[in-house]
Amino acid sequence: MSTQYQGPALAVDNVSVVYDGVAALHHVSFNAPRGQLVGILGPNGAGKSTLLNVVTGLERPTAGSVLIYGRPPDQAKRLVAYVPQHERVNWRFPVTVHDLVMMGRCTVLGPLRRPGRTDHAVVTACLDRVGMAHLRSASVSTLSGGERQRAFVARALAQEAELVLLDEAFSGVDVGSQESLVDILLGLRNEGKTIVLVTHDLTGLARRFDACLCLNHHVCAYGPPDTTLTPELLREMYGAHVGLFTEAV
Amino acid sequence: MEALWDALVEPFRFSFMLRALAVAVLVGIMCPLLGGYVITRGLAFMSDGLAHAVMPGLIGGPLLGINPLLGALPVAIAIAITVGAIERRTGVSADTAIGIMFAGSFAAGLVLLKLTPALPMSVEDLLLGQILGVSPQDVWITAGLAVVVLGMLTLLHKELVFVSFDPVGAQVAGLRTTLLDHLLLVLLAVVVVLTLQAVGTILVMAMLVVPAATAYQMVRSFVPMLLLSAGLGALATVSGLYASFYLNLPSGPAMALIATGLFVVVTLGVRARSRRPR
Repeated sequence: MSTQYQGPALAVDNVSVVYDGVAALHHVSFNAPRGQLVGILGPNGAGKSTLLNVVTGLERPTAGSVLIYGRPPDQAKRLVAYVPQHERVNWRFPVTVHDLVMMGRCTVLGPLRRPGRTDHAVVTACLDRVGMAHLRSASVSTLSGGERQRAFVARALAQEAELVLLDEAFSGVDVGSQESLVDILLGLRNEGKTIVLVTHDLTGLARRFDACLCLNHHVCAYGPPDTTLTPELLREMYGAHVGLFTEAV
Repeated sequence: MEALWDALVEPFRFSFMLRALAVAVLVGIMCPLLGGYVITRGLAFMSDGLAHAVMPGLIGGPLLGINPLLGALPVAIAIAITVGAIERRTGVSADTAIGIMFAGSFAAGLVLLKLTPALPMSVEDLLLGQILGVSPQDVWITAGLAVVVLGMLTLLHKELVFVSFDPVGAQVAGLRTTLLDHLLLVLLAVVVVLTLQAVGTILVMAMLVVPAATAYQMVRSFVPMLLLSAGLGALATVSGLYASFYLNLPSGPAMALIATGLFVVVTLGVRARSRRPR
């Protein structure tokens, strides 16, 4: 797929989402080229998760369009893996790390087929890739925030997705684990995967992204971190709290 | 040893007890297998609501000259689907939607029962179950539906696990999550109806919830939890059947009491183990 198609991995064109007359997203446009790590940054309530919902096809935009490897979201399910926000997962449901990663094989296998030896080997390889093989039998609910995110990234790998989306990627993850998560994501980027992550925490990690989309209902800026994460722009997005963030970045 | 063997086989010299044993084993395995989803997806009230709301079907079946189980089944499926529709269309919470259907349908069942005095069925039969009175036809219907439920749970296992743990991720991955949710509710409706004749309306929830909740404390992976739940469920229903034979107890409550007793013992055991110094 990725060798034939030459356009961007993700093309968001003039997307608006309006709820009861209030615009959550206003004419948002950007392209994420293949093999890049793109961060969508912005304060709480800026429309970041809404944008991710539109990209994943969970929500239809009021106007505009989204193309993933040249296809609309509902025709590109196989290419997209999603790491959900912590609150959207049913942690009461008892699954091991191995079970979680095996979920990634659902779309590869298709309906009614049971996982075979190859699928178990893929799961093991994906766990190795994120340094979680020793925790394969652990219950997901007992993992730390960083370990959980790595397990979900392993699931995305098992799905053989080209575009990996992470919603509130660093929420509940300590600083050291945030660094190792970004290391893993940069490794995937180097292999040609496209990573788009959403975060409201503006930490120094953003400097390691290939591009940052600063969002506050509209696109405040989009480009490499050096040109986007300027004090003026951060003030526009975060207002009075900007001092804290400028120190962080 | 011989005396123990005699005591174990003695009840099954009667054909009605053999039929009861077959239904007890089927119900004891089937309920907890689905119960794994019930307790981890917050469907306990849904199960209880269904168990009460199928009453018009149970009474309507004999009125139409068909088995009560076959009368209850379409009612249960319709209610399971309608609850979701009420929730989506009115914006009320799921438990409110269940409460509305539960109250309305149960009341309709009571009125129907009052209007048809010739019916060979009492409210007590419906509430407590009548496993000792199951017919050979009931056994075959239960076995047939049990095969269907078990087959569906096996075929859709990986999809149901995905959608139960991470519904949004499953939807993004292209799984038909609404269809899977409806299917699970339909299976729940089928299992509730199956269980009614064994343990009665009031105690359906006990068989769906208690063995699975007991196993949930012992293992933290879903498949081992389901298998353990099924073992505990069968143990509770079969030993409940013995208790009802030898102690002259109502069979449904005996089964539910044993299931609850196992839950208490396991809870205390797990707590004691976690407090033990290592």
